[in-house]
Amino acid sequence: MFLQFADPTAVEAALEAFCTATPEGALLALVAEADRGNIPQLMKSCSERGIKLLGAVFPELLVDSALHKKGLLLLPLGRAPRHTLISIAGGDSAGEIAAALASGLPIRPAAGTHTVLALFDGMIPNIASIIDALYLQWGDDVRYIGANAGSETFTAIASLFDGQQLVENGILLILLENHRGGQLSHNYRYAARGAPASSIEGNRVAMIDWRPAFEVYQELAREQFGVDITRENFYEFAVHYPLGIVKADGEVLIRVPVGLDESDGSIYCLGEIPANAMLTLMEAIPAGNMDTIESLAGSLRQGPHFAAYLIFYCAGRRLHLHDATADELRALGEVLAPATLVGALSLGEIGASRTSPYPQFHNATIVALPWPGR
Amino acid sequence: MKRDQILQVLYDLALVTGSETSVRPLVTATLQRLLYHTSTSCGLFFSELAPVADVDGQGMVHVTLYQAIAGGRLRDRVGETLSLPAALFGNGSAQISDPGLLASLFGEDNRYRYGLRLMVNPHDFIFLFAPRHLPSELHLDLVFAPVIGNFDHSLRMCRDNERIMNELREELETRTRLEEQLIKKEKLAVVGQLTSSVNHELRNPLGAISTASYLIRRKMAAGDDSWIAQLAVIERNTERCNSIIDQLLGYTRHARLSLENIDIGALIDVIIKEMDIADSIAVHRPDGGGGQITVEADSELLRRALINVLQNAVQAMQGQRHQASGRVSEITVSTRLTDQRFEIILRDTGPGIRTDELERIFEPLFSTRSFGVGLGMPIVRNIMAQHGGDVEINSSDGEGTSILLWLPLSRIRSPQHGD
Repeated sequence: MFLQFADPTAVEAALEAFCTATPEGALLALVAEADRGNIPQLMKSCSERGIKLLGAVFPELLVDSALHKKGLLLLPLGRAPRHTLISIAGGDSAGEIAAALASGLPIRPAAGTHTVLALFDGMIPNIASIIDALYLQWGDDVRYIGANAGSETFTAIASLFDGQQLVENGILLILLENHRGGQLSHNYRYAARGAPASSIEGNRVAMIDWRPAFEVYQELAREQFGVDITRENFYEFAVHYPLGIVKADGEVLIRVPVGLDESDGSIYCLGEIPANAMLTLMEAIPAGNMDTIESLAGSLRQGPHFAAYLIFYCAGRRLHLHDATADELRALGEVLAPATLVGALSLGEIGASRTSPYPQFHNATIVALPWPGR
Repeated sequence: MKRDQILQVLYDLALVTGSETSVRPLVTATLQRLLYHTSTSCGLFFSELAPVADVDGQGMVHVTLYQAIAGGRLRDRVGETLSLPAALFGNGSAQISDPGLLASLFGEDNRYRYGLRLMVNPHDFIFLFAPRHLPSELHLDLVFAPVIGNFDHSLRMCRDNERIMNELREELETRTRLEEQLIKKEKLAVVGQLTSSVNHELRNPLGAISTASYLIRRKMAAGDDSWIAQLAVIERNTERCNSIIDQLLGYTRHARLSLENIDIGALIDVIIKEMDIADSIAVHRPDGGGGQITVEADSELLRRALINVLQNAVQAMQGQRHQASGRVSEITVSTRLTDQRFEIILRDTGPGIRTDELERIFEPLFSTRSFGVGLGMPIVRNIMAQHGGDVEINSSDGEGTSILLWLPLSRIRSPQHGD
């Protein structure tokens, strides 16, 4: 249910009604970044009513194909789902973090009948490595789906919470039992020539093909798309020509460039890039192209019908599509009708794609996750 | 998949397999990258496949499951030697879709319908499994052939590296263990030697004290007033006991230096005067008196070092007196400032030190005398070392002894270097 903190009576009434209808129930709260100051009161209100609260802060919320800068989405999570919430200390390796998460959420081998909803703070620099390490712990005993929370300004904020704590640099994993997972898709187009990322540190690409990254990026954009990307127009253009990491199964992981270090030509991307990855220049999906929606709907239609879907829509995709975002969301609402769509604008997405069950860290995708209950 | 894409993937995998130096990280990283690239969800690495001749009557062969990513309960059996159908480990790389073979691996827990065997070498195999057929347009076994060749090479290098590292580790552990045993033995030897020496040294004066006490009691009972003379015996021997304890403490305790400027010539003169050396021994001071060289040192420690050396010389001369050798007993104490250091030289005309004794003179508890703890010269060396200097000895049997104590130039306060 979508509520406004500006109307505290409505929030309290909704919590009271939920508590009455589902004693000892749990709620997933998605909070718009502009309203994150209200989280402590929400935690208190849920605690008073014995409601198990889990939640995350996102730049904007999605309700019925429209994005909202303010508000609160409350989604029922059934009775006491198991979860773990940790805050990462600097210096911990991906393996150590994954081990801490796995010990906080023990999972028995269950051949993928459960799904882990993974919500990461978008400021964590090695999310892709943590996902790899988590797969070493759990393998395909569960399915993985999720998104990155935080501020669209890429400043550090406390973005993940449960009933007791609101943390910065957090990871919140929620086990959705008897859940078959979700789907994600981007449909950005692969362009020809690739080049090795020869110097990488987390999400910073210092060198491509042993030359300053920006120099090669400019060259690829000029060669492949006839576009002159300069230091001046970088922030305006780069979102339309993201970098891609090529895989053998033909899939390409998108990395949206979000920063440029003019002193040495390093490019900062939304998300970690594996060392030695081959990078290629991608062409973002054209406005009005509904291939992503059809691809998602095709996969989701194969399963049972659900009354609601949790959607994560990448902020980088919105930056590229601008107003056409609304068209895409409207189309998604239509293909999944009469289901309700709720969700958030995300800072990177997590999940297996249609072709690959191995979970990965993505950019520029739309994630759709069937949600039991309205 | 286009040729360009294949090259990109091969480049990525080649760098992964070439950047590890230990077997487990290499195998894990390679399996992770293969899962990442191939739309498969389970990766297994088997090693130590038994020779074909060892296939049993049921067509089963023994092989070790070295690593498993995903794979359900099979993951719990990493490290175990499993008995599996030999047909799983055929020659070369191949696709596997026989439900029987898949069930032999995963049992009732099987969630995979498709597998890809990548033969690394006749003993090592990579398997990738997926719940459905792979969508790739190409035969991945062929695409990955060059990568698997590289992996085989890296695997051998990592195994060699680990073997060498293990050998080195074992050698280091053996050496450390032997060193510890040796140190323990030496410690026990030192403790034994010390006990024996202290026992011997303390029993003599304590015996004298005990005898004197007995005599005092008897003489006092008999009204004999000559008992007072025995008190001097008690005092002298008590002093000797204290001296032995001081020497032991002086050797074992490394006190912090209490530095002050010392007129070295004046200090030598005072020590010679205080020692009250017998008239039969002539003491010479060729560069005479104080007021020439000032050093920064711990005056108490330096004083102790000089006394120890002088006492040795005097005791050596006293021994010589009874030999009626006709030689003149002389001690010469001089100082010298060179470009490298400041030296205090003590020469005596005593009997000298035998070569075998000279080699052990700085060894704690070594003594040639029937009395003496054997810490005098080790204490001198410790004191000089604490000041950044050392002690050197030149001696030969029957030729006298020259002992040189030196301090670094940094200890000289006046004259300034170059004055």
